Amino acid sequence: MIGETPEEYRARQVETARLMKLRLARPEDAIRKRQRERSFITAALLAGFVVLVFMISVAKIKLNW
Amino acid sequence: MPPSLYDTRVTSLEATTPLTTAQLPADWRDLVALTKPRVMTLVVFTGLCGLLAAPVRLPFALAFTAILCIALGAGAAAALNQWYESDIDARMKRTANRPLPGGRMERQTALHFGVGLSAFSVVLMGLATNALAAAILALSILFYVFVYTVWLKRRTAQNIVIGGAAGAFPPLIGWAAATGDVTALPALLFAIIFLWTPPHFWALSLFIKSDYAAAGVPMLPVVSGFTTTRRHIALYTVPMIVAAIAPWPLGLTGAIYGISAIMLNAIFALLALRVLANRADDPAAMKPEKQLFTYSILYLFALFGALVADRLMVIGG
Repeated sequence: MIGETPEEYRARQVETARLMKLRLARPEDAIRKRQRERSFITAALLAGFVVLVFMISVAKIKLNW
Repeated sequence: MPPSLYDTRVTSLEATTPLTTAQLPADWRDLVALTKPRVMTLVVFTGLCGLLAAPVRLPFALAFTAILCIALGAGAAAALNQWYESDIDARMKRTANRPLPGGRMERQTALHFGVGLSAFSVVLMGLATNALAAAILALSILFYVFVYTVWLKRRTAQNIVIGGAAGAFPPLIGWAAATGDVTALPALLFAIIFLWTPPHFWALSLFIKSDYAAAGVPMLPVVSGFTTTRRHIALYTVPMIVAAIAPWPLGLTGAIYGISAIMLNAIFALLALRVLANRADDPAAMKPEKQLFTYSILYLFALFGALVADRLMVIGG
């Protein structure tokens, strides 16, 4: 900033870095990370379930043919 | 000088209460841990053996679904068990790091997970195979949760004698899924695991007695002492051996199973006798107990493996 001494500039840089670190460690981020992981797993399990139901149906149709 | 925008943000962020792990949505790894995957291995294996020993061959998709449902049902029962026993688990070294006592999950999450998984496994089993297999699966989950966990475990030293039935259902479910009925052989498979459970668990409880005592669980060594427990191990080994060998003279299996069963049971009996002869009170000196516990797991895998090999030879031949 205009009129800032080198010490003030340095202090501002350190403070900004600290704030960015704090922002990264927000609880909301941890929650979002967990939710994202769980959505991927749920999606994969659902896809697996759909395939399984399809295979069960085919096997049952063949059994009763 | 008035406070800058940065100052305000710093204050509000620093005032935020740090989130505890239990307040986060449960980690999927902890949900998996809740199903006791290591215990599930034995359940799935015996269920698969029941399915393969049956005289009817199911299409792969249906057989896979049946085994999956047995695994999910076992996992659901384990989750409900941990939901109910989180207080005991917190007091035992062996279980203190499980998701609930470890503070990594809310109790309600475990309850919802367990109930949901139970219902899903039973319904899927019914849809994929038949009503009898689904009914036995439901019975095994209910038995483990209500009879063993809620009713017996904290009340009597006979908890695992009766509660052992819960772990004996998988081969019965596997057989019922394939055939739609239950005959003498699956009933004997049930009896083998039912009678195997007490010596197996009592051997373990001898060398972790202090853990059970600290948690207030009335396991036999805690209630009646080491000598009585060792006698009980030897006593319960006798009917287990009879049940394990019986399928051969009854003509339900061939010589592969019969000879394997005799050899495996001879070693079991020998180890049980060594436990009976041991007088140690110190877990460090309980080598025979540890050997029996480890061997008992191997024994069940080998016995059921021999049964499947034998039956496949008979059915194939």
